[in-house]
Amino acid sequence: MGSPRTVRALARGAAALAVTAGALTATAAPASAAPQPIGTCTTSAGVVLAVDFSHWGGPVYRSCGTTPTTGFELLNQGGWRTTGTGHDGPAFICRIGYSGHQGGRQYPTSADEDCVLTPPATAYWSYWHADPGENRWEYSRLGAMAYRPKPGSVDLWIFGGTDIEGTEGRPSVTPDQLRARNTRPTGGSQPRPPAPRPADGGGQDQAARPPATRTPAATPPKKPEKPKQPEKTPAPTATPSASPSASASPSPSASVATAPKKTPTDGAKVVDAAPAAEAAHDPGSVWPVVATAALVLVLGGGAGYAARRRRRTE
Amino acid sequence: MSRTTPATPSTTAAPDARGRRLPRQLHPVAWWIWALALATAVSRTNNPLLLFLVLAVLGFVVTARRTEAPWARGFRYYLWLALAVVAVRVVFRAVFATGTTPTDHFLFALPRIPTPDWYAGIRLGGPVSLEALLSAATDGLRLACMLCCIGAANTLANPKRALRVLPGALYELGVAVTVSLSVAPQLVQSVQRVHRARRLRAGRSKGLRALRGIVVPVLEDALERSLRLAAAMDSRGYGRAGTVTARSRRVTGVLMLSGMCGLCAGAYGLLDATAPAPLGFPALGAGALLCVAGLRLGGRRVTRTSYRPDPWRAAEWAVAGCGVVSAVVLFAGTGFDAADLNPSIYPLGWPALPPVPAAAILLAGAAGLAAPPPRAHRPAPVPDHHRTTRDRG
Amino acid sequence: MIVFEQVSVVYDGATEPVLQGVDLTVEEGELALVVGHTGVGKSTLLGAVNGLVPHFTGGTLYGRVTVDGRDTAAHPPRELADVVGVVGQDPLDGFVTDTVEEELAYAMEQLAVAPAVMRKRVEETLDLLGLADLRHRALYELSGGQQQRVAIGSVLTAHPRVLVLDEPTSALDPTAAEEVLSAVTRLVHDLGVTVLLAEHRLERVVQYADRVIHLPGGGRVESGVPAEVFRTSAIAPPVVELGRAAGWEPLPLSIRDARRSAAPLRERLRGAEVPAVRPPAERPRPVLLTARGVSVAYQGVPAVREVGLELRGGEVTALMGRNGSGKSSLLWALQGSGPRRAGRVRVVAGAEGGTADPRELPAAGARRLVGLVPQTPTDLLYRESVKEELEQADADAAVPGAESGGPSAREILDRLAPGIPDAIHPRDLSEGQKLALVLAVQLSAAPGVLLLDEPTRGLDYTAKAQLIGIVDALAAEGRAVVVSTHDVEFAARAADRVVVMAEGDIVADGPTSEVITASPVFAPQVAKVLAPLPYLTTGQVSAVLDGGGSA
Repeated sequence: MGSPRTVRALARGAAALAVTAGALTATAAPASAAPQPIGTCTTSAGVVLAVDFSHWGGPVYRSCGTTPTTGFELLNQGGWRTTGTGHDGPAFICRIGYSGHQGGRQYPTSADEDCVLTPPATAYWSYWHADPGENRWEYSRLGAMAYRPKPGSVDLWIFGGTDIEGTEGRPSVTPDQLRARNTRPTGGSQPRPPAPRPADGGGQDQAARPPATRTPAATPPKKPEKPKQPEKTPAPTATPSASPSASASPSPSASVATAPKKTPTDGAKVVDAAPAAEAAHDPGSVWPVVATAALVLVLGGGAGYAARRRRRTE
Repeated sequence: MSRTTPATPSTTAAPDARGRRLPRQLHPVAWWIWALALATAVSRTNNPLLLFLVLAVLGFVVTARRTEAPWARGFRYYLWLALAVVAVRVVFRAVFATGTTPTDHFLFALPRIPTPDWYAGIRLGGPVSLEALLSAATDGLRLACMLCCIGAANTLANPKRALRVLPGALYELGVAVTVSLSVAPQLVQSVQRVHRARRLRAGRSKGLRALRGIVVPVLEDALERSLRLAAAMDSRGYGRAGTVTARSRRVTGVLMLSGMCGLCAGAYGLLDATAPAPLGFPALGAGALLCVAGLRLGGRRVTRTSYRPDPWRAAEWAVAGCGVVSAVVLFAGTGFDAADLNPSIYPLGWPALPPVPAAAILLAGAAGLAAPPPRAHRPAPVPDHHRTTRDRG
Repeated sequence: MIVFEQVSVVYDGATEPVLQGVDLTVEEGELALVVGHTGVGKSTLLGAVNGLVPHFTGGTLYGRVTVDGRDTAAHPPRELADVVGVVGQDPLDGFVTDTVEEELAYAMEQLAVAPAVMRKRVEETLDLLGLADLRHRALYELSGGQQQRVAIGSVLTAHPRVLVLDEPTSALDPTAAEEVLSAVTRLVHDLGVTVLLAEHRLERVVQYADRVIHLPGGGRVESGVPAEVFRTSAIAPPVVELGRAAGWEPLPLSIRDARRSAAPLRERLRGAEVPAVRPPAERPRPVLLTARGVSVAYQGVPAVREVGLELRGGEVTALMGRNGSGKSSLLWALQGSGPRRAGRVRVVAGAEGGTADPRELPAAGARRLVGLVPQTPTDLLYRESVKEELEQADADAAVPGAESGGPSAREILDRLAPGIPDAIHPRDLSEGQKLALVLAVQLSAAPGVLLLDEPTRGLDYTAKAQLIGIVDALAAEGRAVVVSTHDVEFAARAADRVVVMAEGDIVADGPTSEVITASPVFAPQVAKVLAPLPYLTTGQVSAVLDGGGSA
């Protein structure tokens, strides 16, 4: 029983647990996105991200992000957060939350959808694009991590029964209700210079690379298929204005309160969502794990006792 | 309906002189209900703590209540299988990278294999994060737990004996399953034997033709064997016709067929929200009714008794109940936060151990105490000569 | 009990009827022994009793078969299950359940016997066949003899009036066969069950038979008292042949009867020189294969323990021993295809006297040194016709780049078993013909050492006599031949040397006459009758009697 093999296996298990525990206790690094106040998005620069919470009685939020980026990155910056499914990983957008809405609560809630398997086709976040100048939504053929929005385009997430062809359950808002109409950055301001991006910065890699290890060594250096795009800093850099210090704002709800800008719509109201800080994340306590380990040990002991007694009676 | 008369209760659950219950075999269906219910409960949660608790419960019950029969020695293989499932899940997640989020804990990067544009949905290789692996591992663990539930049922109850409780009309189906269960290991033996014999002939043929050298003798062997089995079963009275007319057989067929259609339509109606409303429960109910009628009518033609039918007593109720309660608790979702069943991995956090589901799973473990102890294993006398005519050793 | 009236059976596509105009009556409580060569219709006759012929096998049955007053034309086998119990050759093929107890109850469940009655009958049958200790055991764990007893028990529980046994011992070793046959005779005597038994090992059952049903071929059936039928039948156990040669009246059927009549014969043979069964070696036989310390183990359980063996060219060796004593494992290890844990095997390769270990050679090279015919010879056959098999064999045997010198597989086959047509499918051959075909395939590689694993199983007397001829011829060509067998009579007639294995060890190794007469279990019938005289076969006795008569 106490063979060296068992000991080694235990040691390996302990090591794995230690890595996990280390990861859990480490302070989360700040997000690496480049959220922009909504005013910085123009008809030809930046991407407007809109998320429709009307399914739960909320508004349609819209915010602005820089390009190049991916749909996924756009959804995970400036207070936005998504959850994937256990089955498909983070790439499948199962829940979306915004720290300025209901304290960062993600929808659908775990009571409605457990996000273990791929959600049903009747209730999932569907992904829509509208290219610059187009007033027609196009159902996304690509996943959030694979799609790279064009500058000046609009990304929309709606929840509900959109069939997989995208012919039914279309969005009720139009791209024009959401998109930036200004040709130059207005109102809101540039919070800070865009995060430094490596030259090969495909948005996907950007998203894929953990912040702590953002060194050239960690990035596969050659990406032949990706055009080496020069850093396309949006025009706003030229007109810096006072920063609302949204990224530092400790109370995200305040930032929403300061930035609402009603747009007349027929359905849900559209609310501008300013870049906000991460919703606080509680890594939880280690005690449940200890308790479970104790329970498992007790059960194991019971099994061992039963096995011994069986052997004795034989 | 088969005329199944329960035998006079010769073994009761009464305690013997030493205060221990008399050993007896629990009804196989009780174990199956228990295990399937537990598997259903498992399907509800992704919480690794609960899953490990389920595994521990399974291990305890199996060790405490399994017999020494050949089918009862296989639980460790299910555990290996479970481990393999988890490993495969993790490896797949690492290779078919599903992407990492900016806050992920980076572990290592696999070389990325470029995929053509039209295949843009799937990527191979790339960075792998701790979160991705953990989520794959818990996902695999859930599947593994369900596998182990089935494994526990197979270990605790003889699957062939469980098939005996099928209604009379499905008796043939049960026999077909039984026979095919016993054919599989024989087929494996055949393949091994022929494969070994091939070297004797040292055929130079490769590939398909070499395969033929194995497949042809094995299939001919299997065919002959099954013909002999069929003849033996026929001469032992299998499928004796009772008092059945051609008309009642046709009616049975129609009832069963329309019942099945009803069940299918009902299931479709329930699962697909876009289906018209009357297709759901009404169709399901009608289908079930028709099926039951068909089974009853069909069962009437089978005249058959069963030898030492397993009794269904308090212990059976207790075991099945323990399992069902755990499933109901996990599905009802009352008394605990449903989010605890599927703790988040993005962002990473310690999973919580919701007390109510944990208690429900521990209650399922109580089946190990509720069930009577298995019949004591009598050391079998060593056969006077090991049989080798089959394995041709 | 069983009545055949003018029964003829024609299978679909066959021109000749298998049975023709058979009239037969078997009385209640009789043990009727069915004898005949392979392929004369024994199985058809037995199958017709419970309606398997023609309900299950197809074909047409003319005439009328009634069992206990029930016409099989109107009753398919399942409706006769309460009257006729059938036991086949390989018990494992007929098992439906897992454990002994459930198997015993299976037929009763089908017959809707009341549970209380079932319980009682199972207990009775367990006692009757001595299976009580095994009741919860899994069927596949049992030994062959135990399995066959369970198979018999499983039909007995239905209380059939007739028991049909189709070669129930052909897959068993002598001890297990003895176990089964004594169970059968006990049933006849204790329960008065009518038994119809087809059996190749006549020597074991002929003394218990009340009636012998002899199928001489051509679809005819003769039935009568054993002593009468065996007077003329082409198939007879050695004790009967001895009685015929010595002209005893009435014809003895058991060792006991024969020994009582044998005193004058023993007196007459006492002075005579015992002729050898097999011709003595003319020149010293060269050692072709040397094995030293060969061990085989399966998952740590030793099957062969440090066996040393020398095989000489021109010598026929019989390898005997119980099932599981390691015979097959040893043969496979010697050939090099089976596992070998330790030890070395050297086989003379080529005329120069160089030696090689077949295991270190590729398969094609190994089979040129040592040929092995496995227990199930058909495992080696996979083509559609005999012609294709033989051509495949020639192609496989051809040494690349060398002129093919040896005879073709077809020539070898014609020498071993003449008259097998090209076009026939190998599966349609008789057991003896299949064996000959596989032998021809293996001999096409011209191995110096030939190992035959249980070739006698399922062979009738004629086929065995042919096999003896084949083995003789192979030895005469200078090959070393090893035949593993349970058949003492075969070993007595075919082998120069007998090696007996037990528990993986060689426990006896010596000339046939010495080893085989040493133990009563292994002694052939003639030796038992004429002991202490060292005679083994009827042939020896007739030779002396004929010689004495002419001198």
